[in-house]
Amino acid sequence: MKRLFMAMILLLTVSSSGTAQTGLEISSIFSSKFSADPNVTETMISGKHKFLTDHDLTVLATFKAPASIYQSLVERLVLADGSKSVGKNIRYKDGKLNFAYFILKPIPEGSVKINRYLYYLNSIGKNGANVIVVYLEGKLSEQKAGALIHTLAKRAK
Amino acid sequence: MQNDKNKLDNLLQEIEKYFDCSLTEEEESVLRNELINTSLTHPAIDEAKAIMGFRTIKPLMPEFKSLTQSRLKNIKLNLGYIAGIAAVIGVLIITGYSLVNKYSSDVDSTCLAYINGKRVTDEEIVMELLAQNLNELEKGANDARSDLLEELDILSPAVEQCTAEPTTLDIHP
Repeated sequence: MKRLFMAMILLLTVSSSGTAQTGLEISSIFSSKFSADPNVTETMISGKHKFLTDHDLTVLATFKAPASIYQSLVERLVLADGSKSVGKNIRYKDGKLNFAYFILKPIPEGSVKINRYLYYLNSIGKNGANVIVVYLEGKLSEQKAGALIHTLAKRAK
Repeated sequence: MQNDKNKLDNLLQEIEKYFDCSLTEEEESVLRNELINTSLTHPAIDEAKAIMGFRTIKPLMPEFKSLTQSRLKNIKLNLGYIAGIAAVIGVLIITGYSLVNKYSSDVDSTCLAYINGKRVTDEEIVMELLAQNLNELEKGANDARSDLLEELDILSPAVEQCTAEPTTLDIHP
């Protein structure tokens, strides 16, 4: 009876951990935690959305918020995930992380590898400095991810 | 009738010996059984029963204790079974929820945005906001790249000088 009980507890732990997200620190900013802040804008496209499937993506998410409030938090989360990256391009300016691009460790899904790309920008725009985080996940290559961003950026009105 | 009188006489003699402490343990045990089972009545028998009854009463507490312990053991066993069953049900629910959630997320898709604290599911608006954010990102990336190229341009003459072919003046005899 005791063994059965312990086995059930173990299975319970495994089951609950199986429901976790991607295991990234930045997941906390894409969990709608800050969505109530009117200064924050987020977009999230995931699942079997046609746009994603057309581009070999499973997740495309963006987060934009005032740097004055979110810079230290977001920078910390991005650098934490970036510390485990397999490729990076980072740039500091005026003592702050200005731009970062991380190729995160791919996640195996069966026989396929799911690539993950993380972008960070701390820039000064029309309405002051903002931090922007962009996350892409899918089978697409690094080159295609860059090309996709370029294509989508051109669509902005 | 005569038989009963003889039995009574014998019993009274044994009782007298009991009070004289002249009975062995075996004889005392036999007397005790006779007193329990006898239908004869006599004040001496009543007196012996009273005294021996005190000595033959088993403490109720151990019985009660063992009964309580037995009941507690049963309750513990029942609780163990209940906890085990609850754990199994919990695992099944969570596993099932995970599978359903995974299945639903595989079948369904998410396309939403948060603007000014409000949730927006209009796909056109979401895609427009996405494009704006990516546009800003690309500009920032281009600025960073431009800065890098500028710095490399600054470094370039110095690098060229360092890697240039040595002149005859530099060669020591």
